[in-house]
Amino acid sequence: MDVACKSEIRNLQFRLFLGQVTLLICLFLITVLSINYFVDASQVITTKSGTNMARLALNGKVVAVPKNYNERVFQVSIIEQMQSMPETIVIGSSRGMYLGKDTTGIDSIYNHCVSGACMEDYYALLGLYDKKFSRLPKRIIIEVSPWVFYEKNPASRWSENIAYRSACKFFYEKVNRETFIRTNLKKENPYISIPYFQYNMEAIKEKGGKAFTTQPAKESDNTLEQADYPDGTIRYAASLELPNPKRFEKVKSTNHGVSYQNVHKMKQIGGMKKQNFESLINYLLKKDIEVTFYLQPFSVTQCKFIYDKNTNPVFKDVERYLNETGKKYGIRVIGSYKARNFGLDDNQFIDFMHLDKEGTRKVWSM
Amino acid sequence: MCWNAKYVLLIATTTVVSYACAIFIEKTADTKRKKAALLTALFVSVGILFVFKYYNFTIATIACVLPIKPVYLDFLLPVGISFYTFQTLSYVADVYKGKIKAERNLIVYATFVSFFPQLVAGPIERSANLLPQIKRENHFDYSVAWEGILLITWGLYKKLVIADNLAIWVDKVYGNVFHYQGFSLLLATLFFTFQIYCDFSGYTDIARGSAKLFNIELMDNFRSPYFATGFKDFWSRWHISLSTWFRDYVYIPLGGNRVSKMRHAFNLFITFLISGLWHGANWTFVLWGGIHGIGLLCDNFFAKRNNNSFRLFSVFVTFSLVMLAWVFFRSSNIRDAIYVFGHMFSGLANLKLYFIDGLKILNISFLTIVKISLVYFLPLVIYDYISLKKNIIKLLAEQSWIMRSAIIFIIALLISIFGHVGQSSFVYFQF
Repeated sequence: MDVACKSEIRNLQFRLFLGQVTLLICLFLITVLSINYFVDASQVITTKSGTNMARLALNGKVVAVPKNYNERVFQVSIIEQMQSMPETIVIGSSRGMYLGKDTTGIDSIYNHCVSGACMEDYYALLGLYDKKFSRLPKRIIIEVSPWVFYEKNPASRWSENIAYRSACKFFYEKVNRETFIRTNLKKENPYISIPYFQYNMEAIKEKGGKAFTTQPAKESDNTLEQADYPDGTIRYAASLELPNPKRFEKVKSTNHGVSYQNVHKMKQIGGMKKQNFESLINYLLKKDIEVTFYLQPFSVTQCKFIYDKNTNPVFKDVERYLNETGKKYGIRVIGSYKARNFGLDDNQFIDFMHLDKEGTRKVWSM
Repeated sequence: MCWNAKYVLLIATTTVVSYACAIFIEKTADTKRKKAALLTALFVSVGILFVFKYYNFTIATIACVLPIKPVYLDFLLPVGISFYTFQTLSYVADVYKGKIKAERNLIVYATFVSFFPQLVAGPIERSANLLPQIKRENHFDYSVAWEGILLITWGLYKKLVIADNLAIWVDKVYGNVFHYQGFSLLLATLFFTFQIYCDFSGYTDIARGSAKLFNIELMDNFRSPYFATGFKDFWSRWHISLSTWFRDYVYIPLGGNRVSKMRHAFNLFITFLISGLWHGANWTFVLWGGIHGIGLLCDNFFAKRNNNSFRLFSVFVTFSLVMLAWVFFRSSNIRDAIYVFGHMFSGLANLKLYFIDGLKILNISFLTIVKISLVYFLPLVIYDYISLKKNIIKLLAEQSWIMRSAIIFIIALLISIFGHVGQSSFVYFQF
């Protein structure tokens, strides 16, 4: 066989090889994509079950909180389906989840707090409102935890759901007039994400065929389970909601400083975070929106580590900064990270960083 | 381990110096000058290796013995340095011995040194094998390319599914050995035995598979090592490129086995001590190498018996001894290693409790044992057992496209389902 002929055969074989490998890769990706899309156990791709829950909640029902539900997807659905905007909203982390009608006395209020909230969650939640109503509520209560200002805060749940993430980007760019870039964010496409594929396969293993169907939303009819009230505030499961010896023991057993979101590594208020925060506040104030900062205390035992043993010195700096900012801009600052400022005891805490409903009511009213 | 671009200068220096020395060796007829060139190449390559890998260890060891204040260097270990240093040294030595001709083309030689699939963690290629393949006109080979894809897939399975998942328990125990005792220590050591094998051989498979896509054949570095019937057999199956390197460039120049029995024992032992040191700048690695040296010296007893039942026994004993030797390899220091040895079998008097407690402390349920056995160990043992007689990859590559693709697709899916897809690196990258 002459050289040209051999070369031609090799070229054909090479093209055949490339074609076969490409086909194999495509088949693999389609499999991963299909499982991720049709199972979507964390609802990062679609908002199906969030939609059903939101519909129930907006109809004034107390909605049972299912296991592994995506809070941010739920917030997307709530705001999407809202007919009218409440006058007051609460944004922040789980440490603000009790702020509602009951605890604040404000009638037209909705609580949009999400677990592990960071700076991006503030932008995302306000972005969702801005996109839906082209304006923002009259009053915004911002629950601020110290780790919100940590430059290397690892929180990334805000980036999972596409709608939530694009609301964050949209509002950030509107407020800061610059492109939203998050260089320390591990970018992962949920459609072809292998870790997400594994998570969905676990869901199939657990629920079988049910993993492919949307979980029906349920009205909560018993206090044993965790639920959301119609104003967005939380009701923990009975074992946590009310004071009890087990809960108390757990709070009392705290034996180190706070390391949530790696805040123990935080040495100072992050420059970029501070800038983002102040830009947001300035924007809201320019729109004549009444802003309130809410600082929830840490448990008495936890405070012994934070303040007496100085395990988290930066907490004092954050609180000082928020008070100074409040003074500078005429913003009301309610609460403090120090439990002893309110005469609280560990009995009023669910854990080292979550005050219970009565405790929240007490702090709010002082 | 460092990926800093500045460290390109190190590999460049090693490449240029060994290239120049080899040409000089070939050109000059004077034996003394040849030797000088060889020593220059040795001095520069090993010198760089010493500074970056062994200086701090040496100075710390001397400081333990002599009353000096150690001055440490703050250098990160350049990636692949141990591998390409040995590769260039073997090239210069082969030119010196007249085994091969010196390569005149610097680009070709530099490609040989820095050939990407094997640069970081081997195999340590011999110039006689790799240089001609780089120089020749390479054409795409369809069946070799499919062998490559199959090798890469299998390598990824070993790395992501077996090695990285076992690493979770190994790191947990060996990260804090004093919290554990009994079966948990033994199990962690067993897991490490497979972790290091799958990690390293997985990388080698990926490297060889990648090279096959270019129709380049890298040497086989592992041949079912845990089916070895003795230490000698083990080292003919484990990290073959390194063991043959030490055989050809350290053991044989020392005299090999063509000397008195005492001297032979000395040669063997020294070779393995150095081999242990190559793996890392820590006395634990030296001890590990020493154990293998002693194992080889005792090997004659196993080599003589050939019947099948004794063969099985030999495989079991060799595996057990190799596994125990890994304790030194994995432990952070000698104190930890001694603790592991001292407590690995504590509680054995009550067998049931020994196993149950060990599993409980590691949080390993019955289902996990089933998963480890079926997903991690079984495919590996089957593959390695069949590989004793047949080349599985070649066999699979010869199947129809549908069969081949189905196998690759299933393995890829298993990797996606069971693989540890978090951030991890290959264990041998640190050498």
